[in-house]
Amino acid sequence: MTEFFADLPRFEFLQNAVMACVLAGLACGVMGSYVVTRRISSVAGAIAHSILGGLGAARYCQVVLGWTWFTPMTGAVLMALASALVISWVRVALREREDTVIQAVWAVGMAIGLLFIFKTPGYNEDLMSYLFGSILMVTQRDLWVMAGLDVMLLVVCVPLYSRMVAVCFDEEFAVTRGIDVQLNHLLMICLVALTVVLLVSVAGIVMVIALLTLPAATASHFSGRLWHMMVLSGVLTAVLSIAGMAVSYEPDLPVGAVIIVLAACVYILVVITARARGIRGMRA
Amino acid sequence: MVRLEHVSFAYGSNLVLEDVSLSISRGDFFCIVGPNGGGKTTILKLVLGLLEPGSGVVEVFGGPPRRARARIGYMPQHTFIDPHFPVTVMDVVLMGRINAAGFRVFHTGKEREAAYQALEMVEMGSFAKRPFSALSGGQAQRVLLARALASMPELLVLDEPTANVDAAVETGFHGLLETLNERMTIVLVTHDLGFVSRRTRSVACVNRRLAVHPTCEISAETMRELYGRDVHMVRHDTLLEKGRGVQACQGDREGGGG
Repeated sequence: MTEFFADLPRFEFLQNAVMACVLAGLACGVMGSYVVTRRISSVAGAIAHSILGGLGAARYCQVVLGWTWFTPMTGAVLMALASALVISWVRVALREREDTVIQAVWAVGMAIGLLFIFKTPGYNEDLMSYLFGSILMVTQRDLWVMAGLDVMLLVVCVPLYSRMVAVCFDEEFAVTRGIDVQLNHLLMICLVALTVVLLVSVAGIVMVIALLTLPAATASHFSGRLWHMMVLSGVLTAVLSIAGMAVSYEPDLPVGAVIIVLAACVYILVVITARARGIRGMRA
Repeated sequence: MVRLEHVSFAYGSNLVLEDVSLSISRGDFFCIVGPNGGGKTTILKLVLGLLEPGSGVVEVFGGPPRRARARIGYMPQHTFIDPHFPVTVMDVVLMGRINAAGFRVFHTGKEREAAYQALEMVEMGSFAKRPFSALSGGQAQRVLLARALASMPELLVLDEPTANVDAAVETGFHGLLETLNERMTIVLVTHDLGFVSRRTRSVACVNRRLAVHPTCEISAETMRELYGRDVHMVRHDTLLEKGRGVQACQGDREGGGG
């Protein structure tokens, strides 16, 4: 751990990684709290996994078709938004069973990704970094993209905050107040999708859902209001990610996995102490 | 004020309401009773414009329900709300004024004042800064009522307002609604016939079809028709007030004052 902090001022890739944790934490705090209180973590999970389809397609187009502009990041963003739209559309328009559609998007996205990767010639070392994260390989350009997404998130969410609270708390009542809940939900799901893309570089497709939900769930134990939860879980995500990097640095462990295990430990600890102290005992 | 004409509604192939007509006038305390799954809540949702009728007409304040929403205060069933949601009592009540708030980041002093007044109306003013999750069932119910009142509605719509609260809380809640009825029209759904209060002028019994009993002529016959089986009935004192017969009826449940 000490070695990490000793090396931090010397290596730019470490500084980039720390910056990525902070930028990811911001988005994660806001959208993670939404996902947890709205209970749509399976939607976020499905979007995360489907991203592999976009990444695979982008790699294929770059290598085989020579579309150099079609970067994996572009592919991921397009795929995440497409999955978000499909899930919302099926919920609203077709009234199909939502959980079936969610699981289908989850698996089909991964299947498409695998097919493209299989048909892309060359060395596929990238696959592992997509699946399990590659925060130490974050570039300056990635950081700018992340910062841009953060700004966009804040620009949309700050004016919508009280509507967000009302919709999360009681959707039906929000409708009677004249809020277009459908549109609101669609917008939020799209923002969740973008957040997931942003977090994939930290924790990878497979583990991103834990990074989105565990700090938010931990923060909910100390939060009296939704924005407290957002701020606290944002800070928690950034701190946990940096701590995870520091812990994994010396023994050379996979960073994403260490971050998730840390987040889970903190969550479990908080749940157990909360039970023991009866912080929430007032409501039996 | 509220008019339903030959309204039918089905969830898929499941017909919930069939040829329902009713009209509610200004100042009414209108109770909708009936067994679970009989379509009571569906009527409320039609009035609120949350559902569209399969056939027939629903009018509120002489127009489509959607356009009347700002003038309606709605208190949904408490059981559907996540009790751990991180929100203060004041925030919950402010949700009642959300449309007026537009996209502003902070609520204005005027909105807070209106929300606080609504809390005072339900005698919960001192709880404004408490977390909603720390309230008892009865207190939470009052806060949800305050949220419905925060928009200063002309019509108050309540869905099972006293589900899961004890008898003492329920009695207090009755008193509160009776006071509010002096200022606004109230439509209330309950499966608990004990709720039908002294102020009630009309009782609608709904079990897919609907029968309105203006002076509560609920007989054993009506009950059997409604519930499809024999139920005990307690006949309460009949008070004659301004030429109107007002009384409460009690179904197959225990208790209920008279």
